[in-house]
Amino acid sequence: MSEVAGSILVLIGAFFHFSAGLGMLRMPDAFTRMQAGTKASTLGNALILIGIAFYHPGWSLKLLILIYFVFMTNPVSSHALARAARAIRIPMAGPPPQALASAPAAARDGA
Amino acid sequence: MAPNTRARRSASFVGLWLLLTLIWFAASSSLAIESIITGAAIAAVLAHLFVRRFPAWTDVRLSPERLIPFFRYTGVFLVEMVRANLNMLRYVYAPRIDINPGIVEVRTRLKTPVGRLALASSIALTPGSLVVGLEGDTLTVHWLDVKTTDAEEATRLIVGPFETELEKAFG
Amino acid sequence: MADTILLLAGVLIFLAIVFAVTRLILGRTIVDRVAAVDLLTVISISMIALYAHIADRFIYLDVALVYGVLSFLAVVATARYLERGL
Repeated sequence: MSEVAGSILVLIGAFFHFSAGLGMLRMPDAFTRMQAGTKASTLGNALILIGIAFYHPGWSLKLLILIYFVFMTNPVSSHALARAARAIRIPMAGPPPQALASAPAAARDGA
Repeated sequence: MAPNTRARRSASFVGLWLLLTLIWFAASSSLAIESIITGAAIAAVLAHLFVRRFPAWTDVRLSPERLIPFFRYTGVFLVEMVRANLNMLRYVYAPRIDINPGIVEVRTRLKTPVGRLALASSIALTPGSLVVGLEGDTLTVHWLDVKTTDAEEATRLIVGPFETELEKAFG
Repeated sequence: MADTILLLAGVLIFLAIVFAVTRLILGRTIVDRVAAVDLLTVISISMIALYAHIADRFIYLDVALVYGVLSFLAVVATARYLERGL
């Protein structure tokens, strides 16, 4: 029974990874792609690791460390990347209310 | 002033040491005596270096009135994160992506660097927002669906859920 | 039953990797490519953990952990380089 529960959690996690990949492909600019990638993949990773913990209760501690590790590093790396993107003026999709002058209209490059 | 700083520094050194040793146990999953001694020694060196080089850690204190808000914050964070992902699924699977991205600036009441770091990381994992800059008490946020350009209103919508708990946990 | 569900999960992860690699190739800007690599590393961590389950080897989780540390450092170093040079 716990095996089926674990495998269903793994499946949901894989679905979130799939959505992260799809968002990465479909979103219009670098910032929105980063958002889709970071959020969905963090939750997907956590769900997959929890699902594996259902199979192997003895591995729980190390899986917990992995989950915490991804929760801490993923936002930091995406923040560093977003900051760099802003510093080197990567074009942004949509009409940004404050930053109209800095983002050219050509940025609307639909994926 | 100086003795106070020293006392606080050694208190945070002990806290960090215990935390790192705990992580060592979880990572090595071994109770052999050599493993325990090695882990404690490495954790002591790391904690010493970290407290000396990164004074921000000394603002973190481990006490019940700090830990309980931290656990409450964890609960709030998990709920917000699931909400963020469902929100993201709605955008990703819509036949035509319907977003209105933009940059807004929000202000935070949090004073300590660690509190601000936790806030910025939480914002990155919650509905449609990503921190692109952090200077002093001003966070520059990339917002997937800009509802308002007013700084006060944006602050309430983005920072609101976490700030009260984080303020109690980290100051 | 459980194995079939795991197989389905593997197919979904495979498709996610295909999407991320497509974004890595299409790119448009350097930041898109680095973001795609970042997503690929997180997917790889869960894939290594899944393989640890399939091969029934506890030690592979350490591989996932070290892989995570290294890829985090790689992404942060790349971001720093993009921002202000080496």
